[in-house]
Amino acid sequence: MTERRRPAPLRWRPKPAETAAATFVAMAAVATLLAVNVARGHDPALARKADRQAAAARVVVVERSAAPTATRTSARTSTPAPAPPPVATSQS
Amino acid sequence: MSRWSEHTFGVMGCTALVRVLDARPGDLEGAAALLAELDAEWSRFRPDGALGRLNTDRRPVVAVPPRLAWAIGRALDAAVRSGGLVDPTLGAPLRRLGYDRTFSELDPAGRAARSPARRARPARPAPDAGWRRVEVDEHLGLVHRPPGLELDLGGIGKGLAADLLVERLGAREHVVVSLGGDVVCGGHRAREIPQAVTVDDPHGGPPLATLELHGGAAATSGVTRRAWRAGGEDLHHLLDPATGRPAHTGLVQVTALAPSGLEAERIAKQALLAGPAAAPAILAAGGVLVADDGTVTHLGPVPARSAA
Repeated sequence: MTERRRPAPLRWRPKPAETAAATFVAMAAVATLLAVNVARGHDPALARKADRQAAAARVVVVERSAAPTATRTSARTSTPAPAPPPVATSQS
Repeated sequence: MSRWSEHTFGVMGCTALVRVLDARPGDLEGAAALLAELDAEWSRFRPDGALGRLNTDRRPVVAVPPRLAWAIGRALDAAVRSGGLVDPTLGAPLRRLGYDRTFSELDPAGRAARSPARRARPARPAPDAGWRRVEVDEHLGLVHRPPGLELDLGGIGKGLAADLLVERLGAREHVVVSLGGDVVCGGHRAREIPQAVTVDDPHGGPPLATLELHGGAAATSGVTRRAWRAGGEDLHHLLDPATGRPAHTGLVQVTALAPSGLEAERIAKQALLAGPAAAPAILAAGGVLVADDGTVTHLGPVPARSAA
């Protein structure tokens, strides 16, 4: 009589390469989902409005920098200062 | 309405200008007092001052006021950063060449404002590098150096003094300190208020250029103004550390732009001593070079426009 052995339970252990591949697939899926959502939420009219507002803001900055004492970098509302007279750099 | 206040006075052997936007009472008087204190401490021409006493002290370790220890530390930093070209230990050679008192006190008959005609060559660091033998404990205010080694803060001291003053008045809207040719701007609106700075012609002609500072500093080093004649020879105060003699590098004046007066001074002097081939790389933030043949070169990202 032959002895019957119970088959050993099957255990699947992912190899490192398989783990990496699975991670990659999962990340790609998430990225695709995000891209789709962004595309659905994109409103061309809204974007054009934002562009117009940004352009208007730039015009304000340009106007400020055209004044002799206005700032080029700041939109603060401090009192414009009179331009200081020049000073000379000479051999010290 | 904002209002400028300014004070012009003589200190450190030169003319100082302090200009403040929306100054508070005492600002300008305090500025003059601070510069007078620094002059007393840092001048090698004052035997009773802290640096004057240090230079004649025969002990190897000398206690000095903390602010002088700090200034010597910065001068040694400048020596390191310039590879030894901006050497603060050339006090003795300068004295032997006749520059032993404030320049305005030198015999006017002996002064010369000529560019000596010699073969140009870049200056080099001193082979024995006296500045490497100076150690400063800024915390304790102790200076270790071989007795007889004479320190000279020179233009580095002026740049530092201007920086200190601008820092002290930094809470004001705008501050300009001009100290013997070093111009430092500060204040919380310095970036938005342009300060025009004209670059003087080393030969007394009209300004060579006008720069705009939005904070930061401009400094000029040259060989035509602090120049004198002794023993039938034209001399000036920018020495080649390798020889202890006036340097002739092919440049007669360099203006440098930098974030601070100390850095602008160091860069201007280093570029002049390094000569026309190496100077453009040293003037990283821009500046103006004047060669001994009169050629003027504008360098760097800061726009320079002719004043003419």
